[in-house]
Amino acid sequence: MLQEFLPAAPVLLVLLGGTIAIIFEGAVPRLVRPTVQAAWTLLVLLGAFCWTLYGWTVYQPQLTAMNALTLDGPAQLAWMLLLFFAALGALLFAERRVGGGESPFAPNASAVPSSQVEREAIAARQEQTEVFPLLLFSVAGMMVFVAANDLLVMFVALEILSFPLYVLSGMARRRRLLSQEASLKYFLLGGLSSAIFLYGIALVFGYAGSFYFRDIDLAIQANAQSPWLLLCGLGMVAIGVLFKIGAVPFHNWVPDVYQGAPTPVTAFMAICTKLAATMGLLRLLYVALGSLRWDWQPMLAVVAVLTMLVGSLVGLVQTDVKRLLAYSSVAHAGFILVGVIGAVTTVNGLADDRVGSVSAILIYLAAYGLATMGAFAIVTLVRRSGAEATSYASWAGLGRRDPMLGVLMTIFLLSMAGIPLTGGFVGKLAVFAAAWNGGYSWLVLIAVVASLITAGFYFRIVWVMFGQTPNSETALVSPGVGTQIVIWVGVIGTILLGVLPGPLLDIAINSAGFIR
Amino acid sequence: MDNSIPLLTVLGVLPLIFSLIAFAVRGRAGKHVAFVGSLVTMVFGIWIFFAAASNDFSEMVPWIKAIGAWYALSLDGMGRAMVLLSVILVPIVLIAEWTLDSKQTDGHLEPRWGSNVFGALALMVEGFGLFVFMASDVLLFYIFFEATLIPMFFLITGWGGAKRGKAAMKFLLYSLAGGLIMLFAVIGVYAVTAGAGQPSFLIDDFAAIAMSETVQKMLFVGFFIAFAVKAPMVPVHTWLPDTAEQAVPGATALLVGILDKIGTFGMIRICLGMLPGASLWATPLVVVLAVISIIYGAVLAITSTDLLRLVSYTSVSHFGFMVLGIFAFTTSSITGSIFYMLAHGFSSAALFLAVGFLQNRRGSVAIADFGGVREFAPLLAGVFLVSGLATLGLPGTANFAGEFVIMTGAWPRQTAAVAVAVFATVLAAVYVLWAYQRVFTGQPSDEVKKSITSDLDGREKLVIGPLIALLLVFGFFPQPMINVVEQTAVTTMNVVGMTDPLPGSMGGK
Amino acid sequence: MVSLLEIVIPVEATGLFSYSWLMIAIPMLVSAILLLGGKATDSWGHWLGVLGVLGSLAVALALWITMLGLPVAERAVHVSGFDWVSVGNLNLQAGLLVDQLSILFALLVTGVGSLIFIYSVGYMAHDPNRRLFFAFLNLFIVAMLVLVLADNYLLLFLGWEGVGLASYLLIGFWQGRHSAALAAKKAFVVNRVGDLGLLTAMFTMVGLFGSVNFTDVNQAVGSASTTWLTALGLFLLLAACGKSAQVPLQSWLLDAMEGPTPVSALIHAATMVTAGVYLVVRSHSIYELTAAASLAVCIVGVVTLLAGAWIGSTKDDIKKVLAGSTMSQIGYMMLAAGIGPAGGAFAIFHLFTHGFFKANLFLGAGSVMHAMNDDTDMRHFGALRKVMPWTFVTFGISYLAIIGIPPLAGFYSKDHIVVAAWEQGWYFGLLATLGAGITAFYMTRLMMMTFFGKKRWAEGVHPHESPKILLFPLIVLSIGAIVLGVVLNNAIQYWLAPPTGGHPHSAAWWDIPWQGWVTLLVVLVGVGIGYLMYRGEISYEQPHTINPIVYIGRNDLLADQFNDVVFVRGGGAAAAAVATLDDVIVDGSVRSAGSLAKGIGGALSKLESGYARSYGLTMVIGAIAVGVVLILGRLA
Repeated sequence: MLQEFLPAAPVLLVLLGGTIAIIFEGAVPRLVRPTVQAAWTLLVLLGAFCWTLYGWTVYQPQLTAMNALTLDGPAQLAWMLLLFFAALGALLFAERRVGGGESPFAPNASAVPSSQVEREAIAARQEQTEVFPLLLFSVAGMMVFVAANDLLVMFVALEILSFPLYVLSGMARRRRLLSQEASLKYFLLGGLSSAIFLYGIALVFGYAGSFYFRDIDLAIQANAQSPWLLLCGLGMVAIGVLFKIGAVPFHNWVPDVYQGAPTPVTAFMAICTKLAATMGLLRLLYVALGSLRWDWQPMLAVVAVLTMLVGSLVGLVQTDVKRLLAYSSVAHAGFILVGVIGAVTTVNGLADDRVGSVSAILIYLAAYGLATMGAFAIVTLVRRSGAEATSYASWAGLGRRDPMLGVLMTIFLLSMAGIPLTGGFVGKLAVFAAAWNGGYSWLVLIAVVASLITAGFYFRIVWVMFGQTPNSETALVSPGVGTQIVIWVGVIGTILLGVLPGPLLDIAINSAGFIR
Repeated sequence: MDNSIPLLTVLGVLPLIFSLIAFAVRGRAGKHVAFVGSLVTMVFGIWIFFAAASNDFSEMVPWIKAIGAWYALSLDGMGRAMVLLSVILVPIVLIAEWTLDSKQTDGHLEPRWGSNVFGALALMVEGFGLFVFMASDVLLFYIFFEATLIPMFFLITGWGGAKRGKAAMKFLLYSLAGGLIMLFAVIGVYAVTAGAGQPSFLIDDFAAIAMSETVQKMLFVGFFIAFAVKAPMVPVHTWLPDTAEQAVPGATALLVGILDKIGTFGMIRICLGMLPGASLWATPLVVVLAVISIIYGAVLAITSTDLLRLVSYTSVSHFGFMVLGIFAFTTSSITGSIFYMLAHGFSSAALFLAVGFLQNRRGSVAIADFGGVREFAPLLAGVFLVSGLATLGLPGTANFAGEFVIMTGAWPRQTAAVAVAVFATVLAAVYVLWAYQRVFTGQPSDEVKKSITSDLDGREKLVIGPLIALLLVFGFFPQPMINVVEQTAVTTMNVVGMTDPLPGSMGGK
Repeated sequence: MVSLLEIVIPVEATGLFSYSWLMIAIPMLVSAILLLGGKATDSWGHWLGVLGVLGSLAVALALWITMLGLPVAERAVHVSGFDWVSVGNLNLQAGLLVDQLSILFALLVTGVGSLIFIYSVGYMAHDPNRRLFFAFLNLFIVAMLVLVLADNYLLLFLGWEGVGLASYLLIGFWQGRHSAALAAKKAFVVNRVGDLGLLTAMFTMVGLFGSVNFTDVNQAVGSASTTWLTALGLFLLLAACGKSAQVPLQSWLLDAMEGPTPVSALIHAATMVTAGVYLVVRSHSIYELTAAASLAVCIVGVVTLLAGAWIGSTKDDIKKVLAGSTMSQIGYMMLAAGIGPAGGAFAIFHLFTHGFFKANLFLGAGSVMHAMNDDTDMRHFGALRKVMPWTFVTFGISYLAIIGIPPLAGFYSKDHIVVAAWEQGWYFGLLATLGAGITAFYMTRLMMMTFFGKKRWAEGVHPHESPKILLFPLIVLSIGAIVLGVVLNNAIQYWLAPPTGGHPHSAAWWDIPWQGWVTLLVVLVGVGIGYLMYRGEISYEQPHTINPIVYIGRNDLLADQFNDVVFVRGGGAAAAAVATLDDVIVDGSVRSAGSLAKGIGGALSKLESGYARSYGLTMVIGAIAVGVVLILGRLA
């Protein structure tokens, strides 16, 4: 029994860590609690990461946890990436220096903004250290989501990963109302998408008579029943995941939530949610619904085109850095979908020792994550009277005031724009190549055009930072250790991935095989 | 030759290292570092230029095995010529823009960054550019092709006129548009080679692969559009005049002199070298576009009221000649094109920098703001005229050698195109001499009297002297350089599978 | 058709001939010193300049004397140079050809050049930029010698453009004068139009024969189709028209008189403008095989000789009269060159003598201008023969020479051409004879207005004889104008027979055919008319005219008006249209693509209302759309 669960231990470790962290809330004195919680969270994530790494070298791909989870290459790589980015996110959660000694989260989340209760909470230097266990729970949900072997587990995981995020989004210390609004929107729309997802599961079950991916695939191949049921199920299940990815037309929550949520949460969400959702989508589509790819490829192509174009075009007219990064994330969702559609090989995701869709997307997500994490970290440094100042006007001349910071931000933006010698370029190259190999060269052409449009707004920020006269009302706070680590890890990773992507690419290729 | 030292890598990295140092060392010292760096690169580059004649410096290291990307550098005749051009132009440009930080006349806004940054960026452009000219792997070529845009973008935004930000953005987006379309083709290269069994981005590997005509044409179009943007061909040229108008002449000289050559370089190296069938297929259209560029650029140069725009339009015209030569598919026309790339690098730089001297004095480059300048600055008038004469292709200058060899070579295959293109030689006389007449002759206005107070000083002579000397040397004795670049033309002709038309094949009895 | 001509294969240079390049190198060195030396050379630069051309002259003379001592077969000498460009099928060398034709030209250029240089020392004495002037003059000598000594069309082209450049620099020498700058530019641009012809001719030669070498081309002409040979002939003719100011590319020459007068004498009368004739004569083997192109040459020649004479008859500016006359005289040469092998030698003969008397006329005009405070309007002259006797006498000699009074030089050289023209066709002969009559008329008019009649000098002008340094060249040149005809009449035919492919037939200098007598008669009539018309009062101001002949002549045959309408305005409008196209359509489409993207982005961002309900609705619609796409995909 224990043996059965051992390969899935990282998930359990994170869950257990979260539970213990809740105990800390009661057991640890208030003043040291933030430090203890942060340290504990990092420790848990690190432990889980190491265990995953160990497992990756030891275990053959297998089904585990009583066939609830699959422990294959993509799952393990996704876990490692999730844990890695979650750890970076946690560092931002714990950052206090940039906020002038204050945490980025509300002192008392249940207090009405600007109320007496809140003022007292501030005066008492209260802190909602529950954010750390929430982070851990969300990560655990994501890990389950990417490894789920049946639809029900997937649904449960989806809810586990979502609920902490709904809460976290509403906990911004500054601009609470905006934050709470974001939280509520996210919750409402998330609920809607969950409902659609669940309905889809029911329809698929109705068709296949099983929740297991393997059975579903066999049922499709056996041509069990009328396909219409299955098609509707496919569509609804896909919508549930596309919502999380932020694909058009299920993307409307993205800008509002990204802007409203506390920036560390936004950073965490932007990467980890997208990563988990994408990998989940891949497993769902390739493993369970691989035989239906002639159906979902065109549908996803339409979504991908819309996503890329809407993300890039609307991004052009933005004037707020955080909101721009939200649209950029939408556009990137489109680029990722381009890779998904390629579907070079469906069931095992491998294409003769070459860059296939799965490995390409893993690389893409890694590159995107590094750059996005770094960019959001820098967003937290630009402030006006204590609060983050994210309008372009406040960012004017940033690079001239602090050339180093400007150059770092530029590197992140270049990576997002897919300029060579950054990770973003390698990711794009791999993803587009996968799509072309899958016979979707026309989609690559559209993706290239969308890339150009995105370059328009990325370089606009570069221009704002270096070309415009510095804005004297904006303060550049110096980052704390955590933020510095995030930024430098982001930069080094971005450049390393851009210049020497070989090793990671090889790893991704060798571990790109799904099992069922 | 000891192959243990990757000399080509050293050549490319050298300016980049100096660039980083120059960034780090603020102020005037950084400017000196950059200049020393450019000189060191020049010496080393010239040594490589000569040494590469008898040595094979090729380097080839697997880079991203999974996708068949190689870190592969090599230097053929065309590459050598471009290396020579790059390493010579950069120090000259740095001298020309030596007083950049004190340039605060009407036409220029306050510089955005310290004087070390210009040099550092110029070296970065040089380093990336050198890698482009040395790359023998498509992906590597592409990567550095795009990489050059970033420092160039900053060179344009940093110094110059009031609308330089907009101009830089236009330059960038235009180039990126071309670049991303090229990315499409680059990915196609991967798809084709992967489909054939072994993914590889090596240019030499690719030529051996059989592929469908449609794919070949698609790839050709992707690459060609990128190169057409770069080599400003009509109708994708409009970024150049705007950029030239706003940027400082030194930056434009680097852009037009070195970076734009990547366009024609790529056409030979990649379009003809990798996709010969599609190149032949596209020839009629390309030739028409080239001829249109030639005439159109010349006409617009005539109508220009701004000297910098004028010079940039002349480049549009001249790049048309190069493209015409490339797509005429004779050894001599292709050789002529490569030679012209070199010559145009020097002549356009000379003219841009000479205009820069005027700009520094008058604070304007509007032709209407001048008149009678010769009276106060006869030497400046002289160097402008000589640079202009080189630009209009006077025999005895390198440009003539280029144009003549191109047109002579192309005549048997593209008689009609050459017959039209040759009219540009008349138009060239009009735009150069009309500009000279309006700027330098006649009676000076009061403003001119006030602002043009000095003739060329020693620094300025140091800038323009070598350029003019090079133009004359290559004009009277082009053969040594022709020998260098002919190798590339011969190789390309073999790849394309064309033979030179024999004398008499055109109109014999 | 195989050429009937013997092709002269030049022998490789030995001995003195190996040093032929010195002819070019000496003035080149001088020019470089003067240009690079700057103001340091101001005090002695002009004398160094004179030395430059004298050095060339010395070399040319030495070569000529050596050549005289050689057997005819060894008189064409090839001096190897270097590979200019050798790639693929293209093989272009720079080498010199010293033969009877080129040495004659070299002597003319350096000989007349030396005299004009000396004259210029005096003429430009007060110009602050005299050193520069001599630098440019030496540059001109270099280019002109390259032009005539080249052994191939490409090197010839180098000289061809080089003289164009020198001409440009010298016409616009007084750059402060707007008109001078304009004239210089015009000369260069119009010449470039002609150069198109030479360029395309060379492209064609490479295409047809694989070489642009004179000898190679001569040997290979037989292999080409007549169509291409005709094209080749016409291309070369276009080039010749540009350089030699032949109709329709004549308009620049009159404006070129803006340059200092020695320049007009040397470049725009004696040497450079005749290069077109040289080109046609050099290419005789091509014209030999294409009757059409030869005919075109003749027609251009005849038209120009009349047009130039027409212009000369109506102008009041002394230099412009002479310029028209130059056009006209070159027209004669062109006519002769077009007639064929026999005419080639005559063309060169006339070219040679014309070089002397026309240079003399120009320098004489310069002398007059010098006396009249640089006024060129003949209406302000009159009665100068008494105050400027030397100028008058030398000018008068050349006057007699140009109108063709035996036994002066012009009579013989023109006589041959007229005779040949009659033999070519009576219409050519008639028109050539008529031209001679008009020449006599306008030259007489010039003489009358300048040296005879009453003085009509402007106030404050006190004419005086010019200093000796100006007179010396006048005297030498006028001696040439007297004797050259008699001396060269026969000799030159034999001398030039090998390079021009002519078949000389000897005639003594007193042996004048009937056409000669007729021409002489017509000339005398012309003189008479001129005398009668201009012996009386001449108004100080140019009278307004409604006489179309006078009006058109005064306005350079309306060439400027034509150029203005067609090229300046028409071309300008077209260029402006292209500029608009570039801005509105080409760049405009790019700009609007940018704003379109932003517009769409803006519109789409409106969907971002902020209301969860509308987001939910979008999602539902999206869900339906997904379903539709899936179903459609299945149905398709």
